[in-house]
Amino acid sequence: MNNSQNAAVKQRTDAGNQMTDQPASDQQLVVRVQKGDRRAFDLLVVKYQHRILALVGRFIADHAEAQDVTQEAFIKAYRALPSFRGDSQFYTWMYRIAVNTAKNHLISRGRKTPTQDIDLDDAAFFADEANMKDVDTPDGLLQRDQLREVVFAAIEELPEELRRAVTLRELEGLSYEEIAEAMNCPIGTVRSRIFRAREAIEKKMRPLLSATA
Amino acid sequence: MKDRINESLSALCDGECDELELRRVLNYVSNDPEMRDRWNRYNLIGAVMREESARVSDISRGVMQALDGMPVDDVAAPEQQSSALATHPVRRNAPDWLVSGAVAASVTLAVLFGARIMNDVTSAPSMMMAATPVQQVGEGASVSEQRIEIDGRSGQLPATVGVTTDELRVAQETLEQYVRDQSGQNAAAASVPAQVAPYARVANFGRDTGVKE
Repeated sequence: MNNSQNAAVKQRTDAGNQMTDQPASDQQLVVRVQKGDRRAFDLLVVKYQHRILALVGRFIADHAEAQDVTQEAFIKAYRALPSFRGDSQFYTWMYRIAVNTAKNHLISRGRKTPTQDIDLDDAAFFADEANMKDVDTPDGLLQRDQLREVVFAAIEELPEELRRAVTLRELEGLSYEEIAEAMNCPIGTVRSRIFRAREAIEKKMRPLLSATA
Repeated sequence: MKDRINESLSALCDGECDELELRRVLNYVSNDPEMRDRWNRYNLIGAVMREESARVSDISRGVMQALDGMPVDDVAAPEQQSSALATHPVRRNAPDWLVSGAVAASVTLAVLFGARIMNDVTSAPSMMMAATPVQQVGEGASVSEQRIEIDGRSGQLPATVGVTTDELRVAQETLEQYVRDQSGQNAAAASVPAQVAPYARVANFGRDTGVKE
């Protein structure tokens, strides 16, 4: 990734951080888990598994090993979740658990831990590549490239109002209310547009994911 | 209906669904694996659009399987958990089969103990006899004489008997007291249901006669 791309991503990342300052869905799900609803934790795992796996993968190159450590990190998080007070975002908290779990894993295997951590500010989106390489299998890299192509191609094909709504949401991190103001339409319409946009994209990416599953 | 719940799922991605919707979504997700996959794809769309590092791999099922059976209030600080807990989580509470086994064993012991006391009570005289070695009784004494002596009618015991006279007298007094008590209880038992009498006898023997085991 060159400097201009980095800057562009960083710009989008900063915008995205506005959204993650108020991760209402995470908060809702965390509360449900704390009330004993394990299904809510399942949704949190599904939501963050890719990012946490990518994070752990920066410490542990072997994909299968990284998967095990990621799983362990989520289990630790689940066990500690009742004491999570919500002072920080769920992902930030999860990030710390994952990093510690990965480091402990390396120490237990007699391996050196990276001397430089990933900056927590950049952790959410990994815009900064830091000093750790994102090691993945050729298949994994190919799959990611294909996925990106499919997703962006699907976005290009969306009707203008759907594309704008989903972009404002996913990249700019605007709330439905803010998008409604920006697009001069009711909140219900925004909600519907974002849903329809996701459905259209999801439909295109489904064969790719089911083929690699 | 399906579209409506999918729209709620999409709204949940953005933290824009209310508590009622959240509950409905969680109910659907737990019964419909397709919805869970859809939630995964919705979140992947956002990750890809934001150029987040994401490895496409589903570890959530493994996490939930590992968590299966683990209570949510089984809290421990993440750093206190060993890595072994992750792959083979250990429940702190005793397993159900162990608890029920312990209860069954306790009840069995209580029944056996009670039965033994009952047997002791009914065979008390013969036990007293057994306590006197036959070969230590004077050669000239007949079996009937031995019984009489032990019964305390003669007040004389051969000097060779292993039990001291005082001990035997105490035992005889205890036994006589017990027999007197039983006579009174039997009379009282005639006016109560038959099942009460054996228990009263057992309870009375240990407590009122001063017998210590």
